[in-house]
Amino acid sequence: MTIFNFKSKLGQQALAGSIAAAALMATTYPALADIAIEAQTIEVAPASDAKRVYVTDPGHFQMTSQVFTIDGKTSKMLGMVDAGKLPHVMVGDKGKFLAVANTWYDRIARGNRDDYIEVFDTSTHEVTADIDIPEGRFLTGVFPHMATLSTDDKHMLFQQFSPVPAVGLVDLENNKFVKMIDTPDCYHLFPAPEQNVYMHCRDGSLLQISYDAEGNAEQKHSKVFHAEDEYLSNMPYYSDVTNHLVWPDYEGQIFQAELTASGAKFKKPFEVFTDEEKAAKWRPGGWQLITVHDKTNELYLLADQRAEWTHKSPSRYVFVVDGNTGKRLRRIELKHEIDSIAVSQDDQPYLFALSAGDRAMYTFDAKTGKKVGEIGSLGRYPHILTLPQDSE
Amino acid sequence: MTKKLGFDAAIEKLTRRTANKTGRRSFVGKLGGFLVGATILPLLPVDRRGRLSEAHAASASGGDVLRAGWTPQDQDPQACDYWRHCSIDGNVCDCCGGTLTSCPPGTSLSPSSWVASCYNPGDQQTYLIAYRDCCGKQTCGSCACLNTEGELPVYRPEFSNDIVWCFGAENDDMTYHCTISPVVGKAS
Repeated sequence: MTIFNFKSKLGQQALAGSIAAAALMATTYPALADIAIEAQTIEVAPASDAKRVYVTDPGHFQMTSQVFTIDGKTSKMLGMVDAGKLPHVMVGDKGKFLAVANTWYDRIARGNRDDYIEVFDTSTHEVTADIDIPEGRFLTGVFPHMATLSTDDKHMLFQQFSPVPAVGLVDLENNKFVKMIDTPDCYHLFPAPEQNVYMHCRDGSLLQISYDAEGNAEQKHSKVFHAEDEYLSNMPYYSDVTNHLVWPDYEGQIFQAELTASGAKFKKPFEVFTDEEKAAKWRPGGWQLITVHDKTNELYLLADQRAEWTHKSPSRYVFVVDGNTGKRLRRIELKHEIDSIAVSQDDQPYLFALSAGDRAMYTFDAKTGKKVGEIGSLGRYPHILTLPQDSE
Repeated sequence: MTKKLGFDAAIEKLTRRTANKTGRRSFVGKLGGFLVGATILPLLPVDRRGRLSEAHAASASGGDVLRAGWTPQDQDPQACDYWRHCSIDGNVCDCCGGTLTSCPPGTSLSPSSWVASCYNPGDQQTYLIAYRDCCGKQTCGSCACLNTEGELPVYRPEFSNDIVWCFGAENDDMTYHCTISPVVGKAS
């Protein structure tokens, strides 16, 4: 608002001058108050470790989002970065930087669209790079694997759905967009070594895209690895360190693959639930509903007793199984309605469990299931967890 | 999990076959035509009884209402369990200044849509709903509902309600405000 009269403006200036003078006196004559003036600084977050957690709150498809930085060891808030509509948050260089893919409009929810990548230092939370990209990010409820860093952190890739399917390639070494790579009708992005990235296609195959620094690409499909009526959830687990893909379907069947530069190697699927449990209507459910401790290959699946077609509703339990054998190891009762889970990759892992409804993150010892922490007031509808997959 | 039947399976097979047999741009053009042309779908000679009837038959598992399964009613169109909202994800436009079939003032109606078969307990018939998003404004916030009856993963986008379905909206504003639930055909 800029409407005011001259008289009131003079009054405002006089008031501001008085406040400034008082502030100056306060700093010039501390002895008058007979106490030491406290230092006033800006914090720098500690270096990222295996239990650094980022919680993304896109609200309900709102125009602005928040990405909260949390020390998972203590459930302490360390800071926050802003993001636009339905952002993708990626952690690189063993946790040293955070890349956020954004969409923004110059008249709030209309006008000119601007898509861009911001890179943040994870200690200072200051922007270290700002890269313009074409206005083509695929805007959905946030599926973390629709944008990714390459395994060497030199590139970032994002998916476009309209006007034509494509993958955008961004050069993070030179902070520039490279090219849109045309693709068929495929989804998600799973990076593999030597400048390869995989997508999952409608026909049930994986598409391997091999690209060079200019965005020239070769593409080939794997075999079809799941049936048409085996509905794979929107949230697989994928490690860009081990290149291990773990993907539950709506009923608790687990599909796995190792994604290499020479192709995808599939494992035999297994069922998490016994026939008796299936009869009792145990099914996976939630948003980020599976996570893996890579070193032990323990799979954590968020599940509950539920009706068919309630696959996105929260769950109260986690089933832990051996990813090599499918053997049940333990079950953790979370005692909260949980939408998303993620496990840290250190030797004493914590299981982080996010409740959008509670606007809170609960922390458990992943081995014992004992609750060890909690933090609340996380925005409006937080439901995405991002952890470093390796750390120093 | 109940297998897909009838209408949904026919659409699925059509799009799969198209994706595998045609060029990429040709496919996208056809998929886009399908999405934009959702209102012509009732003309297709297919069985649309589909998933909902079977899913609806599944009894509630107990526990929280969110996991109990879909039990539609036909009295309150602003409630999340109103029968037309069986696969809605977002805000009901009827609570935002619009109606079940019209967008609120100042928004733009996207021509694209996702589809579902919803059972109306009032007349015990199943109808085809083509959900369409109203775009160009911030999320409405009223009557937020997440129903997933027959909802499929994003790799089958025509049945996915997680996508911002504002493709083709005025000024290309890919910003979600609310969703309308128009009937575009009778399935049984």
